[in-house]
Amino acid sequence: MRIQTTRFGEVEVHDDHIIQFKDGMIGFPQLKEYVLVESPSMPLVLWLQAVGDSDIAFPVVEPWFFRRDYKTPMTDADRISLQYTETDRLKTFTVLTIPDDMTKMTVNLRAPVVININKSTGTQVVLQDKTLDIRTPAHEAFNKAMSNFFLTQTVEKPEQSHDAWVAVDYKGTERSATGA
Amino acid sequence: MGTEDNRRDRMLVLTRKIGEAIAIDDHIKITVVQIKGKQVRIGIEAPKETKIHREEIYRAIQDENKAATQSMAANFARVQSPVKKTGTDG
Repeated sequence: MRIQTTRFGEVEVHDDHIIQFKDGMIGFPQLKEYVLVESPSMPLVLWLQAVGDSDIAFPVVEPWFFRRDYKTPMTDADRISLQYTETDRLKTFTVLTIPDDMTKMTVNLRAPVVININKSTGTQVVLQDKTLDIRTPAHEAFNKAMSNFFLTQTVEKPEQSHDAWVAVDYKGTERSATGA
Repeated sequence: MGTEDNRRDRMLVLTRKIGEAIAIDDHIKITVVQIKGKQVRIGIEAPKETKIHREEIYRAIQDENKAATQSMAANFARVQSPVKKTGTDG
């Protein structure tokens, strides 16, 4: 099916790409379905795009951009929301806020988005660790990670990020199943 | 502030002693555990799937999520431009 998006125009979405957020994102309880859209102009940043509202999309990156030792302990409620069972593979993303002045960009380390790849479910987890800031300055770390990527085309991280379940780009081209 | 006031108008206010509780539907029980000066310790029993958070944190995350959705993809152009992408696909 095709969905309309403010940022990427019309995006072709397969049913497998749709991620169910039973509880929505925090502050957006009415929007339960999202897809992850990759914009080719900015690799590594994905957009968690609401299926039901073209305007609503959250830019997300994996937490290794900012923290090597980032962990997302979940509550029972989080696990239920994700329909999590032990063999499921989870992926964690942190949400960016990017104002017009890029140097002021922040990342929310307190409330990451966790996606259950096996069940295509997602939830926004609120971590108990009070030292994690909702508005952590992110520009420097972000630029560093991006520069590394553009210069070397390799990413300092444990695993490749481009999975088959990461939707499609804004040209409507499906990403290959083998990844980048 | 307006929403605060509206909320207070609709709020049910009950007086409880230490150890007493409030039942909400069949599944949620809120108990006053301890009162110490201006602080109250509250115990909450609820079904496992219930998400419970301190409100100010929850509110701050709501606000930040709203700010995050104001991010535009175009803003990235300024980051990308100085460094030329040289790699190949695949």
